Amino acid sequence: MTSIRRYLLISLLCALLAGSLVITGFTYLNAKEEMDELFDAHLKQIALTLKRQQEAVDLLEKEHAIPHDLDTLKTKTKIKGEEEFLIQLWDDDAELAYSSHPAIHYPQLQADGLTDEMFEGRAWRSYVIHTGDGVIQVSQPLKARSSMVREMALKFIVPLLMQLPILGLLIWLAIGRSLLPLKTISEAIQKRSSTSLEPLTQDGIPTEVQPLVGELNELLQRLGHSLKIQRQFTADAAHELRTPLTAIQLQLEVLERAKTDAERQDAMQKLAAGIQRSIHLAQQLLLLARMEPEAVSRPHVPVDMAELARFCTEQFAAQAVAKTINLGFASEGDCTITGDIEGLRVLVNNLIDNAIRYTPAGGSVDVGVKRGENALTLEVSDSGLGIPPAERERVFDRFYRITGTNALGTGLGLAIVKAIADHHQASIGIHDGKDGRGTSIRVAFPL
Amino acid sequence: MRLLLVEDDPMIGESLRHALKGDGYAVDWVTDGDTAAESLEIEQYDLVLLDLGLPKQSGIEVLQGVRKRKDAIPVLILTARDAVSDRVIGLDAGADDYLVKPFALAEVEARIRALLRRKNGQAEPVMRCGDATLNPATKELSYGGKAEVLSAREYALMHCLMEKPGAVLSRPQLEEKIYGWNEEVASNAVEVLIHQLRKKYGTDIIRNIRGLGYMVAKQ
Repeated sequence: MTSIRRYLLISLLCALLAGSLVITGFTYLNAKEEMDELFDAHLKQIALTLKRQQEAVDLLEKEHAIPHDLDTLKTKTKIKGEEEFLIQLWDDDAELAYSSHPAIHYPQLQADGLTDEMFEGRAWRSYVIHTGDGVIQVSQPLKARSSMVREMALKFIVPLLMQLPILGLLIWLAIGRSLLPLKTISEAIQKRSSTSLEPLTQDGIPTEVQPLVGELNELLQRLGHSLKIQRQFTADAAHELRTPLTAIQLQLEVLERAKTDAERQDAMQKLAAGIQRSIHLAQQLLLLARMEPEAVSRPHVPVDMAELARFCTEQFAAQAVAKTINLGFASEGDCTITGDIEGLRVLVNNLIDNAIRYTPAGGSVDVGVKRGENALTLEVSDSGLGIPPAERERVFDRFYRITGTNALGTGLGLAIVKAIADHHQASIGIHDGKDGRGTSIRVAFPL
Repeated sequence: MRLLLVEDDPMIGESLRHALKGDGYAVDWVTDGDTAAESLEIEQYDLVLLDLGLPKQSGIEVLQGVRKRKDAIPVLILTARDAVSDRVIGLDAGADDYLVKPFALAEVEARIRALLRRKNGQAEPVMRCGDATLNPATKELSYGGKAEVLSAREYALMHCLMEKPGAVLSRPQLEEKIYGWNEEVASNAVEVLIHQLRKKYGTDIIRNIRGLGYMVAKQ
């Protein structure tokens, strides 16, 4: 699990460390340059001073007098520290007249001025002046310089590094404090039961977290809405289940009381019809649950609607003939769309079933599929009772039954059709049937 | 006993009507609120079985209409709505009893009997007129040391007469109480029933007041 606090702390400290190192690096380079200039000037100054005091040099040359305090230098083979220089003087015979460190056999350089030279594996820097009667050469190993610069850089970086733990602690506390609203929100959510969906308070929430709380609140609202719909549906479903169950209960009691065989036969038939009705309702409820847009996860595949509708119409042929209903089918054009084939089959079946159910004997039901410019239209029209314009909106509500119809519908058929159509972004329209009689339901699937 | 059954579900309505007819009630069955309200205005019923979720006019509206007319007819609500608030609304609107679906037929029948008993100011479950005792639960009539279970129609006739002992009921009045709509009534149907009862219990059980009708003696 990632922790914002730890992540921020580590990344900030890393950035600080990197920053410190960059600053130190720059300072080191700058200081080195400055030091080089300084030391070079130093070399030059010494050389020039020696030149000007040629008399002193002559004196040194004549007497080979070596100052007492310089005795120790005689045997020294290395120059340590930045304040120490190797001073060499040659006379006009190119004889080494003087060396501050006789043990160091640094060669005489030809070029005047500042020169870099490798000697015994180390880099040196020298300043050379050729005068009329000799050569003055002041040299210094570069290592002495860099060690000094390094020392300076170290002195610089230590306090920088030392501030890191303090900064780290402060950052840790500051992040913790700024994350406090998140903790408050999560605590508020934690305390809730699964049914309390009131919006979270946005008081005292930092702007960065506001969108999160806003989205959460919107989600809670949507959840509350669908929960309400679900509750209403469950209540309605329970209510609707009672009716066929009451019928079965009564039919069973009537059967028990039957005295003659004929009465018994009749009661049995009614009981069977009652059970059939309950089964139908249960199936429709299950279908509706399965066709809910949120529940549909089946893949969309190319579906030939003409073929599908023809197949469904055929399945109803026997039922239509039994009820002496003239059932017809027609299709036009290439009627392939992409969709959930199971859902589309249920949609077509429900429309045909409804049409046959609400059309009296002797009527007609027509199923048509037609490809238009922008949409594929499925139309199921009947010569039945028709749906009054005032009720055309409500027939898609669950459990809504048109008043005055005695057919034992569940009131779910068109609700299921609507759910499937919505899932396919299709629009449904209810119109008058042919010659103004009956009903025509058109489902338009956008192409 | 004439009942109005208001129920829009064809299966429930059919079964209830069938069963109640078997109990000796004359049952008129309507399937919507408007027809129920009209029937209640025109006809005289002894009791109403009222569903609440009805087309055109809800059961509660029908009930309110009845009570507005100061009609004290017993009303038994039969509904799928089981919330306490629904029951309260139903009873407060003037219902005498409330049964939630799914219910057992036997319970509906018992509640109908109880409501009718109360309507007639009767405390005892059995009806008594002098020597005659009629048990609505079993349809058993005992008179003159003889006890027998009556047929549905015989019971219905006896019940009508014993409800108002001493009162004379004409043949059409009796027919109306015993037969529902759409029922074929032979012109001598009432006479046939009276004949059957007299054969079982003797002539005295039902008195004939010529030119007026029939009655059972108070004592």
